[in-house]
Parts: sequence; structure tokens; C-alpha cells
Amino acid sequence: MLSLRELQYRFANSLRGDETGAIAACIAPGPLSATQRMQIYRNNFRISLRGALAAVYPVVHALVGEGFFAYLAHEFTDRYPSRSGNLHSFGRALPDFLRSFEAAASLPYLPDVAAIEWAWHRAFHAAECPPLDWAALAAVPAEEHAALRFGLHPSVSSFSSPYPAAAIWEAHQSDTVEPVDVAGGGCVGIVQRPADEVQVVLLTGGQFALLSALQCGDGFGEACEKTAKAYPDDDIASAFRQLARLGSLVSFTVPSGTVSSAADRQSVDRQRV
Amino acid sequence: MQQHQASRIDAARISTREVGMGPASPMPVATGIGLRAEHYQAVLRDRPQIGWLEIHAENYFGDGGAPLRYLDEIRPHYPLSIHCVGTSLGSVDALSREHLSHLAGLIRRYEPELVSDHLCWGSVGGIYFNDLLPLPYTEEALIHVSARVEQLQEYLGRQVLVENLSSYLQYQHSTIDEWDFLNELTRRSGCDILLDVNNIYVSACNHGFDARAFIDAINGERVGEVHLAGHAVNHVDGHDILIDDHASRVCDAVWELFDYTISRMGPKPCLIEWDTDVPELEVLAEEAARAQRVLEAQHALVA
Repeated sequence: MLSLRELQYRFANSLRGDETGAIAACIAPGPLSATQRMQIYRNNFRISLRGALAAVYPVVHALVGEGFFAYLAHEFTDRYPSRSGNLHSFGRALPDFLRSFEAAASLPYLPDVAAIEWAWHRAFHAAECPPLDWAALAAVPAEEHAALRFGLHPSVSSFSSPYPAAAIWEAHQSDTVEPVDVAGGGCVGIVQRPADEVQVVLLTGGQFALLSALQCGDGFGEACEKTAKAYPDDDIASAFRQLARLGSLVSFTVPSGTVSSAADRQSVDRQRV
Repeated sequence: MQQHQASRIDAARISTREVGMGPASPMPVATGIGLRAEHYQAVLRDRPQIGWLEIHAENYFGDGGAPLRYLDEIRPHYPLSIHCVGTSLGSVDALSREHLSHLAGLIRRYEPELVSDHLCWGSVGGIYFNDLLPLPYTEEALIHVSARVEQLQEYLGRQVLVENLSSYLQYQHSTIDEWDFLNELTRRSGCDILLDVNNIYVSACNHGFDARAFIDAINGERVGEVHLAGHAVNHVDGHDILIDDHASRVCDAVWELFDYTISRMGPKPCLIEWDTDVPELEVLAEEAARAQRVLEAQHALVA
């Protein structure tokens, strides 16, 4: 008798392929053929994962239309099948997939728009985190500032595109889509959810460079130097203030230990004394 | 076998550490509705007279964000059932530790009255199909699923309910009737049954068995919850095939079957499921009120 394992592999092969295949011999006869019955399951599988992708990538869906999206989702699911009973991580690879998807090569900005949508989805489900303890930061002695390392809110992802990907994304957030000049230049920014709402925020080159350096774990002094070198005309202090205002930075470490609250700070002080 | 035993002991140890819950409160014998994101605000604002709410566990597997924030607010006002669609209980793959750990976290956070999944498989070789796929009803499958349900219950430190599915095919080599399989699963694993009356109707129409005979055969004492939902009727080569889509009102034939179920088994916690093309909350409340009247009529009859 066919083992449960063999049956499930045969069924899976039939679902993922276009042919009914070896599972046909396992299916009891009836008014519908084995092929017709498997086609129902194949449709459910394809449609449900396409729906899951469309829910995460509504702007990609709108840009390419339902017909092409169905094809794209089919190809994507073949190459990057869902690996979890939890769909939250399904579709993470779509921006990468689109970069090498010949059929969509005429929309070169599509992968970057997709990256913003994935960042939005990720931010939507990210953990909450209390804001930075500014009083504690203010109490850090000036001579330790250069060695400060900042931690970012867990919802923060950055994006960078040679196309106006954020403007394209933004244009699709209302019912009437205003045209965007795709030759209108690139953009850099972050997607984050510091409180209840997900935000897509454009940054200047200097702000983005500073954030990226801090995100990589550079000390504050080093991050500022790198930024000043790359963007000599930008005001680093105002770039830092903007990141602070956005709520993207939530924690910091001084060489003597992590300081996340005023109380912790005092205990660090005592240890130092 | 050795390996299987070891993993179960391991699961039990983890359950004490990770969940460590006492017995769950009983679900009221009343009608609930599936809680959908579209209704979070209306539920909080209107607090509709609904017996309880059911969520799909996997929709709350994120680290944070709106789903958990709303559920935190809603939970104190209603009894809660956590219904899983992705445990893949019948798969020959090992149960996913990550999935179980997420589920245990939700159970710790919300202390639901009921926890359930389906008598199905949805993944093999690490690939998930996001669907509820039918098992062959054989002794081999029964041994396998019973062990997996036991493993799940040990891990969670509580009983779960297992739901019958809608299916669009039957296997040649099935040797056990679906109803007997369910009854035997409760006996071997200690789980209860989540009886989906719409699924019985859909499968009965698709496979040509008598839906009432299914209900007659089920051990009503082990039914802890009843589901009601809508289905679609597709036409293939002149034949009707019913598809479980949870996208419409419960049809008259399923209401009749529900009356029959409750008259046979007595009142049970019942749920209106509506997951696609979700209507206004009032429509769900109307459907729930109709089911509630059936429960109350049966209560009156018994009293």
C-alpha cells in the first residue's frame, strides 16, 4: 500500500507541476476525473499564495495589472515556495526575484517599489519599542559622544533607488493616481513604525548616510566623519536631529555599558564611581 | 520510534517551561463569529452582542503591530478561540518548532477558551501550500495524526480540537470512514472534535455520502465546537462541485443540517466563519443570531 509519505510527495508534485502525475492512481473514481480534482487543489494553492503576495505588494499589483501579476506570482512561487505555515515571511524574496525577472525588465523601478512594500509589511508586524531616553542621552559626558553606538527601532528598514520609487509608491496610496516622472531622479529613505502608523520617509543623502553608518554599528564619531566626507555640504547636526525627531533611534550604548533608561544610567554612574 | 518518543518527551518538557498553563475556562455554549481585521474598530466601538470570537492564529504571529494591539483591546470583552490553519498536523514532516512556539506565545498572551486546527496536511518536504489538504483515512494515517495531536497537546499543555475538512477528492486506499477516523482520533489522542457542518455538507455533496449519517456517527460528547460557513457551487463538465470558500451566508441546506446536529448533540459553542469578501459586522451578527436561536430552541426543548 502507498505510504502516507509517498502520497504526500506525489500530491505535492502534482500541485507544483502542471501534470496530475502519479497521484492520479491514488484518487477514487467519481463524476470528476483525477485531473479535474487535482486542478481544484492546484487553483486553491496558486490563488491563495497569489492573494497573499498581492496583499503585501498592492502597488506592484497595480503597476503590472492582475493578469501579469498572476504570471509573476506563479513564477515566484515556483522559485521561492512558502517555507512556513505562517505567511508573514512569504514574499520576502520578491524584490530580488524581480531584479532578474526578464518579463518585467521594462519596469526597472519595480524591484525598488517592491522593496518599499516589503519594508512596509515588515514594519507593520514589527515589535513595539519605547522611544529613546533623551534625558539619559543628554547626561552622557561630551567626551564619550564619539564612542556612542545607537540602536534603531526594530521596524526600521532603509531603501535606496536610482528611480523615484517612493514617489511611485506614494502615488498609489490614493484612489486617483497622479503620474510620476520615472526619469525624475532617485531617492533614499526609511520605512518605519515608531508608533501605530507605518511611515515611508524620504531622507537627504547626509541623513541617509548617517543612519546607514549607525545601523552598521559605527560609533557616533565615526559615523559623523563618514557622513561629512561623503556629504561635505550637509549639516551633520541637523541630520542627527532629523533622525531623532523621526523616532528611528531608540537606544544607545556608551563604552561602559548599555544605557536605555535614566535608572540604568544612574547604576552605570555608580559602577564607574 | 525511539526518535519519536524522544521528541515527545522533549516537547513535554518545553511545554512546562514555555506555556505552563492551568486548564482553560470553558467556552460558553453560545454563538461566536470569526474576528476579521475589517471589524476591529467596529467591534471595539459597538461591542456587539456576540457570544465569543475566533481568530486565525497565524494572523497574529507577528512580533507586534495592529493585529496584536487590537486583540489586546478586544480580548477582555469576549471569550476567545484560537483556530490554526498552518500547523500541518497530518504532514509527514516534523511539526515546526517555530510554529508551535508562536502558537504557545499567543496562548500565553490571550489564554483562549479553545484551541483548534484541522484534520489535514498542508506541507511536505518543508514546502507549504497554504491549503488544507485531505489525508487518506488509513490506520497508518490514524497512528500518525494521533501521535502528532498528542505531541501538540503536550507542547501546549492543553487539549486541542481537530476539525473535519471540505474535500474535493477521496483516496482509493482509504479504509476508514471519515467519521470513524475522527472518533478514533479523539479516543487515541484525547483531542475533541470541531465539527464543521458546512464542511460535512460540502464533502457529502462532492462524494455522494449522506451528511446526516456522518453526524449520526460522530460521538457528540466529543464535539467541543461547531462551525458554520458559506460555500460556492462550481460547475465542471455538467457536474456540481462545492468549494468551501467562507465567502457568503450559510445556505438553507446547511442550516437544516445544523438544526439536525444540535438536535442530536445538544447545544454547542457555534461559530459563523466568513473570511473572504467579508461583509459588514451586522451581517455576521445576523447569522450568529440565527444560530443562537437554534441553540436556544434546543435549550428550551431540553429544559
